[in-house]
Amino acid sequence: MLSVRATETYVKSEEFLMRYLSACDQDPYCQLLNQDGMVNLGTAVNVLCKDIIFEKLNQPGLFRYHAELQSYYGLTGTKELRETLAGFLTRYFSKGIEIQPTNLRVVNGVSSGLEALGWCLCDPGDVVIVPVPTYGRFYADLEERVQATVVNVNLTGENDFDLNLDVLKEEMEKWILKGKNVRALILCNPHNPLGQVFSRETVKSVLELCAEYNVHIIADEIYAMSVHGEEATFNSVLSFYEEEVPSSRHIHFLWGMSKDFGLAGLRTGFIHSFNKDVLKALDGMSFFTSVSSHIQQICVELLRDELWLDNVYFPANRTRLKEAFNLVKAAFDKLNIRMVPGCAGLFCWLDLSRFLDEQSTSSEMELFQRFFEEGKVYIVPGTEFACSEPGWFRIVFTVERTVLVEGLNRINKILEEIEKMNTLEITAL
Amino acid sequence: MLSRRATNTYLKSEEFLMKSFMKCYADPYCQQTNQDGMVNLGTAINQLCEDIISEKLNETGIFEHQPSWQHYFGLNGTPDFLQTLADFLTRKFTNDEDPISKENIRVVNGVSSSLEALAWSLCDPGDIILTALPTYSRFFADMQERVEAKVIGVHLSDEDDFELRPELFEQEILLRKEKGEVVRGILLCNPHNPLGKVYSRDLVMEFIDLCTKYDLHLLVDEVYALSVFDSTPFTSILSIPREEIPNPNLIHFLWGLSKDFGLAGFRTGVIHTYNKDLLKSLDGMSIFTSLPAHIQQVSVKLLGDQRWIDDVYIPTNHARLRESLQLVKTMLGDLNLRFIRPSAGLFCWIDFSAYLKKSTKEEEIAMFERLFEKGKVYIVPGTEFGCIKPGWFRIIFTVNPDVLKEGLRRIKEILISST
Repeated sequence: MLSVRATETYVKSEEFLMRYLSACDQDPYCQLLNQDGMVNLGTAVNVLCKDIIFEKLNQPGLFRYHAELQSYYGLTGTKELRETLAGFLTRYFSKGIEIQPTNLRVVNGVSSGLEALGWCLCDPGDVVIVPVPTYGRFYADLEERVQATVVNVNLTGENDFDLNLDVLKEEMEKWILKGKNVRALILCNPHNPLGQVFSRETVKSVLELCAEYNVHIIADEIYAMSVHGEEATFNSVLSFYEEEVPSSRHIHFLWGMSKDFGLAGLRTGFIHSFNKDVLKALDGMSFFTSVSSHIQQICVELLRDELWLDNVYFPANRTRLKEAFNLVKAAFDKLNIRMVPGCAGLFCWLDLSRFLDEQSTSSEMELFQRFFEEGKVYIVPGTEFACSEPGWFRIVFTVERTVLVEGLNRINKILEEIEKMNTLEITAL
Repeated sequence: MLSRRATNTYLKSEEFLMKSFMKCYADPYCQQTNQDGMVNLGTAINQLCEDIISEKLNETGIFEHQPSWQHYFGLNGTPDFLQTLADFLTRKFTNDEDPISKENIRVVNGVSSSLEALAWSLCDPGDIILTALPTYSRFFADMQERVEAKVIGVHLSDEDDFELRPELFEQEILLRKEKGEVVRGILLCNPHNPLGKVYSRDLVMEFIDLCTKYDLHLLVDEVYALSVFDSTPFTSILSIPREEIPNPNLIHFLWGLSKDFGLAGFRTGVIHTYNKDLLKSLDGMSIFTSLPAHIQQVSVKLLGDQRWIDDVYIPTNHARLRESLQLVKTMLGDLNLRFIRPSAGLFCWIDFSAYLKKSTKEEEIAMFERLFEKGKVYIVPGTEFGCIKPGWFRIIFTVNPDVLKEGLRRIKEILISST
């Protein structure tokens, strides 16, 4: 009835993150009205500044309709938004290097941007490399309709899943030997799910390695403005001069409104590329990735208000991220649960392996199910993020404080029960 | 450097309608400030009711923000919008006779995106979708560029005014089957672009029967449904009761705000289907085709205002469409051009072949280029729409009347100087 590809991709199965978001949305926890509901600490949404965003978006005159907005003129990004965005990126991302509006494109979400770039760079079966653990939807975005093959490069928990360039290089060579086209590498910085930022040297090394192998970099920097660690410095790919890197034509930057502004609802993502062919291809497909010109106008209002950004929004967001992160860290430190030192993003990455029956994927999924069904709390199991070591979980902390506390209590309860059982077993031996 | 598919699809050439639109956009005619600019009578945009739409959309409170809309909410249709659409489609497309359920509706970011999503879901690469020629040319782009369905045109004849004949389709289906090719569906555009025709209920039923017979999907693009400006009754596919359709899983309806409301800037497409697998497929890819909740909620207010739609917008739009069409007839009348009388849409389909040196594609394109480069007026040549006979052009008449007059004047000048 449907095509084979649609049947295999969407009828026979459902992507994990979407499925569980949906499930939580059917029965959401509410302290007052639905105490038995699901606590969602799995979907990466930032509600911490919803009051500030609410005030901003309900400003009178924010949505001003004029006839020009009616037609097809913003398909690849309105001139106003590209100019405003260029200014914004120059100010906050590129450490002063002038970003050109002509190298920017607007698409309907970063997922859509990833899909579009994947289609431009890869023919079906071409290889995209991603260090894992990684955000689980990279597979969906690059494989579902694009049909690239995303391959994992395993990082190890022993050294906090540090990015190992030798391992990356080995993997590229392995696939090239197999006769495959290694077309791109995904660099997620700040990293999801680790919550870390890469040093400038590391970013540069990755750019150099990729250039050497003629591999494009898809730099997903969606959490760039969500760095909460005091000591942490974020290095965008945009902060390297074209002359500093071996091949600027290989670097494609993604960002959007979804995480740093908690405005996934605006469905707006941005691509920057120096590569004229990529830009031309994106233009060609812009009917499929277009954003309403009205929404673009709203983004202009948000991104150009430097006073609001510098004095209200960013400071508040950073402070609240830090507070929430500290709360979670304290909770898990108390339980002696190891966390990869996080300094950015909306989540932290925890090692719950000692609570597994056995060190296996199925055991980890059992623990996930137990959290979900029994505990009514949703956190993402590392398997879904292609982690090669069982037992890691991602916890999102950017929910309402009461919800976070409830969620942590529910997790704690399950862990305590397991600990008690383990103790009993040991005693029984 | 890029993938082969991107290179072949987007680097080696540029889609005609988009390319022409961009050129006009870069140098637009303005009576006051740019008299040498391009008059765009090629892109199907309805500007006739900009004033009414502007007034509506600048009403206090039309745009708002609610906290829940910040997040992944209503990617393929907020509950409010789906319900509003269900009510709206029931009222305006089925005459309140066939309740449309919101369960069977999905929203995507534009009708082009809808066509792409449907083509991907229903066709594997190389599977065929048939459509009548002449046709809106972006059907080819939308279903072939990224998702690689194969759109095959079925030529209608200018000898019978491009009558839509199901038997021509049946011939093509049998021909393809004999070759071992897979035909997956038929795309019907009703009201028709570029002909402006509105098809009878009987004809719509014939296509349903044809698709049932060969187990083909029937995609019905009704983007001009509310732009029927004469008294021809319009039969939406949604108004055919489910019981009268042998296999409802084959029938898929498309609509959007771009033409009937002139709101292409909203990027809003609507799909209706009974096919549960198709709905599941659309849900699975919804993050790629998503629409912001805020725009959906503005649309809720727009489409929910029955009084405004029935008493203000639609009557005014229809009256202005008629007036603009009349202007075309008046200004080009003395050239005695053959044209297909449109009942709907934003355009008319006119035969300039009497002004071609020879009845060939090359001469038609030469005429197009004279109009574009020398006349600085853009109208779409029939070749781009796959018309079998050279010389036909599509003229958009839904621009400001002064701009329309200027455009028609330029067209006339070029035509006359061609003899």
